Amino acid sequence: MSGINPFDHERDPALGAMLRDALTGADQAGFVARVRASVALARQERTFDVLARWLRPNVSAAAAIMMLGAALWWYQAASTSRADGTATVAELLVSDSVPAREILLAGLLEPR
Amino acid sequence: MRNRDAGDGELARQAAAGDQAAYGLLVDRHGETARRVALSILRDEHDADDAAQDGLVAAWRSLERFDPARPFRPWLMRIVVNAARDLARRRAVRQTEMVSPEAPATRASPEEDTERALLRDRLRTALATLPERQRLVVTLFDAEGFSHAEIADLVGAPEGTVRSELFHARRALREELGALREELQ
Repeated sequence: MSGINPFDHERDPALGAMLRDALTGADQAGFVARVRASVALARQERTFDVLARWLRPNVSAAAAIMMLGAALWWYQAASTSRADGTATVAELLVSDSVPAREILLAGLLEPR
Repeated sequence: MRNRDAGDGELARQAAAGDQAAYGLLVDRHGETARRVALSILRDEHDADDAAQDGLVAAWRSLERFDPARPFRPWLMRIVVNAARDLARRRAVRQTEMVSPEAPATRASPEEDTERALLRDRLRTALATLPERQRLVVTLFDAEGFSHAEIADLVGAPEGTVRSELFHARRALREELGALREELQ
């Protein structure tokens, strides 16, 4: 200890040893075990994060594709029925335009 | 075990690839230093252990950002220092209540040598009177063997400032320990 010289920029082994002694905590093995357990937990979280990061866009993309498919199917079905003029009586009745008289009669007379 | 002989950089590379055992070895190697560095900032053993643990786990999470071309220990200690400073900020009120030169942070166990226990307490007390950066600098330099340049990088201060902080810290510790030596004679 007598060698502590504040002007000296060399390391002071005696002071260093005393500082280490003063600052070293008890139960180093317990501390290491706790850190290892926390790291294992963090690793699990990281795995779930990766999975979640992977799943989120893929699930969104799948949902978007399904919605797009449904919209396309609906649009195609609607345009097909418009194109071949085979709209049902019910469709004609709920449409904005007034149906022709014969259509109304056909609706009433058609066998069920 | 094969890993035990590997250098820090190699273990860090393995750990970054998901090898938990490799990181465990790094914790074995540097855990004690991390606790001491955290204690030099926080002055409370429980807080220091919490901060050191937070820092070591944060480092594990950040391993992908570690540059293997640079030394691992200063990189790790910078994360531990940041964790300790974060905790110090969060517990600032509690800390000022706990630490005073008249109240050493811990009591020596009965089986410890009296003189050594006294020295330990007085050194902790003397450290507690120093500003945080001086405590950190003297611990990193004299106790942990970091270079001035590494410490400057770690604490975010010029090297000249580190040398000056080291000078003031050592002078304060010398005075305190000199007084103790006179008491013991």
